[in-house]
Amino acid sequence: MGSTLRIVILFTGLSAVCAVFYLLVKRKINERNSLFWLCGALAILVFSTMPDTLEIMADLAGVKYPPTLLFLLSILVILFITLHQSIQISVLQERVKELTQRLAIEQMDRFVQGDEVEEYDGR
Amino acid sequence: MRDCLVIIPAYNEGGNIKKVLTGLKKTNPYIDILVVNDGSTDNTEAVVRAEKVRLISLPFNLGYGGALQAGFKYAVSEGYRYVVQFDGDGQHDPEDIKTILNLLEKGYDIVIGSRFLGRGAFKTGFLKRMAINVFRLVIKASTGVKVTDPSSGLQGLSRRTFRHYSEIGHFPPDYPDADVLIQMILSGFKVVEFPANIRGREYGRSMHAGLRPLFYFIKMLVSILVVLLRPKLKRGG
Repeated sequence: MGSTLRIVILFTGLSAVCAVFYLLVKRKINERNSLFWLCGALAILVFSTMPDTLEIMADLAGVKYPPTLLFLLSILVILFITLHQSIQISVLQERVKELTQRLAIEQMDRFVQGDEVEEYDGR
Repeated sequence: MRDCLVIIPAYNEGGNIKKVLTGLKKTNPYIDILVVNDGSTDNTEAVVRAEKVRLISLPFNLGYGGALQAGFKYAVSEGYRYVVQFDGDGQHDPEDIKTILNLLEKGYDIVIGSRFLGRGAFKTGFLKRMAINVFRLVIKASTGVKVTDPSSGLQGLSRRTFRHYSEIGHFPPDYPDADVLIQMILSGFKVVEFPANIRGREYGRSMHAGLRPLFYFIKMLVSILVVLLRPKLKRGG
């Protein structure tokens, strides 16, 4: 791996770590969700500071150009994070639906107690 | 309070709902009516309020299934014995409710008003007919039960059925269809159909134009697959 590429990757990793910590400080992301991003950023840092690791892994995987393996791993990390977020969105959607229904029923109860509903007796 | 609650999910039905409610009150004076206003942007809420029936107004649109489920939760909390799902667009015949109640009294859990058993003037498009045929086959193959109209919105439900539907994760937010029926039949709920008088309507409920029918069809197949896999995964895990 060329030194320029190493510097670019190192800078990218450091920027990612800084960005996640900035978002944590600003309360734009919670600790639980930040862990995945930090893991991804740390992996980038490891590979950029210890390029031998990447080369050994590329060799083992039969990848001729080591940065390709780095891209592959990055994409896998991003895919994993996206899938995790989809799960969280699904859970949140279900909870929002439940809350909306309960809230609407609560409000309706007040409406009925206000005697605004008349029982229709067919006459 | 009476035994039966008719639940009408309504989204922008300001033009139809008054007629539907009048028809229901006239033909079925001894049942309670609940309209679930699903975040309508028209005057649905005002029209229903003026009709003096029970009204749940959702703060925003949850979709057909989400609105129905809100009604099921209310029915559970109020202790109703039966629930009838009824559409707010004038497509369903209030006279059919008597048949539904008779069948529920006989011990069925899910009573489906089918548009394909001889009565009514409802015509379906080619694509929708094809999709329904596929779902019929899948239901028959996976459960052994013949259901001609799995997507019918006119259904009667026993207490144990709507109690189950009211729980979190047990009812789809968009359109309950073959997936829910297969799940229920496999869980031991008794399903029956009767020939309902379904009238024509101006727009479809689940099969809209463009790519939506295709998306819906694929989503439903995935959903059915999940329903069939779930017990196996549970047993394995």
